[in-house]
Amino acid sequence: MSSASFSAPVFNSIAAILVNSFDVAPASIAPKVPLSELGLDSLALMEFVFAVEDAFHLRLPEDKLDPREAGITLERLCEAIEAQIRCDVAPSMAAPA
Amino acid sequence: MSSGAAHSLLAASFRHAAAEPVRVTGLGCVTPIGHTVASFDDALFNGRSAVRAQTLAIAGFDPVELAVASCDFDSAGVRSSSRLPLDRGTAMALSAARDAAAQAGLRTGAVDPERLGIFWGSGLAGAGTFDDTTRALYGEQRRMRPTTVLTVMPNAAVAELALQFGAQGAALAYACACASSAVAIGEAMRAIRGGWIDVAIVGGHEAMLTPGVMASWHAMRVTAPPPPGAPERACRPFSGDRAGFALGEGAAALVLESQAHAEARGAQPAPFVLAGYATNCDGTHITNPDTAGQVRAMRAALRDAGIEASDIGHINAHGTATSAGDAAEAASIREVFGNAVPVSATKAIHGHVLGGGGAIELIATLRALARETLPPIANLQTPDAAFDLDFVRGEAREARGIRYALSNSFAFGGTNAVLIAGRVAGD
Repeated sequence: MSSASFSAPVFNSIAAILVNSFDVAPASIAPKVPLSELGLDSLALMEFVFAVEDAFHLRLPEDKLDPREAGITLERLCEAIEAQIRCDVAPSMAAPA
Repeated sequence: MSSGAAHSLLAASFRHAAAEPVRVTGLGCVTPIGHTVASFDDALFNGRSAVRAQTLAIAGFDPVELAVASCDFDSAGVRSSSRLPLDRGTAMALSAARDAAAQAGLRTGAVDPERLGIFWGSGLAGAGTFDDTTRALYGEQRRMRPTTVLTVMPNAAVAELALQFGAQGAALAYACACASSAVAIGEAMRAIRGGWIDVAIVGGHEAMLTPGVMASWHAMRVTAPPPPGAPERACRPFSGDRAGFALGEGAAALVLESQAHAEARGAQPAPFVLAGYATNCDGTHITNPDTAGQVRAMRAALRDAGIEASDIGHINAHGTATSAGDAAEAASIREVFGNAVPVSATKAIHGHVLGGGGAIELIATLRALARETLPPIANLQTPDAAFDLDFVRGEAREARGIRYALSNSFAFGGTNAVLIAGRVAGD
């Protein structure tokens, strides 16, 4: 995963949410796995994304990541989380007190 | 059709009912006094109360000490079939129903799914979750979850149970306050007798020990203050110094099954039947119980079971320990049964579980039949001098050869529900 554009802690955190709150088997969780193949229906996927957002204290705009969209992978979710973290942090860095 | 012909048809249907008793083939419970029949029995027959003092602290208000009976139950450990979050009460319901189904041996394929029903009662259903989520919404600016509606809807537990057990027959939620689960159980019995289904998973739950709900009950002035140093004595049914009830939580489930179905699948159930049921409404006041309505309900349940008042060996009273509630019930029991039938009341030990109370108390009634022993009314030292009844006090009382026992559930809104459980002769 040397080319991964996301960090292991982010991936591990969302994997833990899947295992602990949604009963997803650890063996079925990998970066390239699409959300649609986790065995969660659309409602559970929405709950999962809410839980992820709460865990990272951020919001993932639907125009950037709609979990119901086909083919979105856990890797893509991690990237969106990291992009949003940078986005949330950037304004304060650009305007130091 | 002449009224005589109609009457004989009615009589024929009663005879049919008597010939096809509805068996109780499984029990399960999550209650303040235990999550297994063994631990439930231990507290029940020893009159050991699980009521404790709890401080209700809400910002902007003086703290209040309430008497509460809570369950040692971690709802996070119960998974839904659809992996969605569960209301605490639904989790309790699921846990109790799984135990009941396991005891009944309801394995996949044991029942035609279209002949399996779910009949479930709850008074406030998802009120606990709604209280928690709206508090977070307004106070902490935390969003409502996508599944909040599904978690708090009155049929949330019914839906979850139907999913869990693959039930495709009637799946119905009953909400009539403190009579909810008794009504659910009785209506399931009717559905089995009527031939609409063969098996039903029945019962009820309540999980309402959250600040807004507890404050609502406290505001009604029907809850008992916990006595200093002895909170377990807060609820004293039929006592001269009774002061109201303790709020409880929990769930109880039973498997009801037609005799023919139980026999056909080779089940070897305990020898108990649901023999009679009646429900009616006082139609007089939203909270004040009416003795006349209760009398009509008990007599109708006796007729439904095809037995006389003298056949009843035990009454498990509704016994809320409120001033008006116990007075009305003592008078109605006296009118129907005289003072010859021993009376117990178990809310003193497990609290008032509202919509789940009728199911928990039916299990207590069945356990009394099973053990041929009547549970004592905890905390009852000196009965109200105005009540001329045979209260079971102090210790459990032996009741060898007992055949039938009756359990009362009387609700805000005026709904009365009476269930009669029996022991099968010859089993």
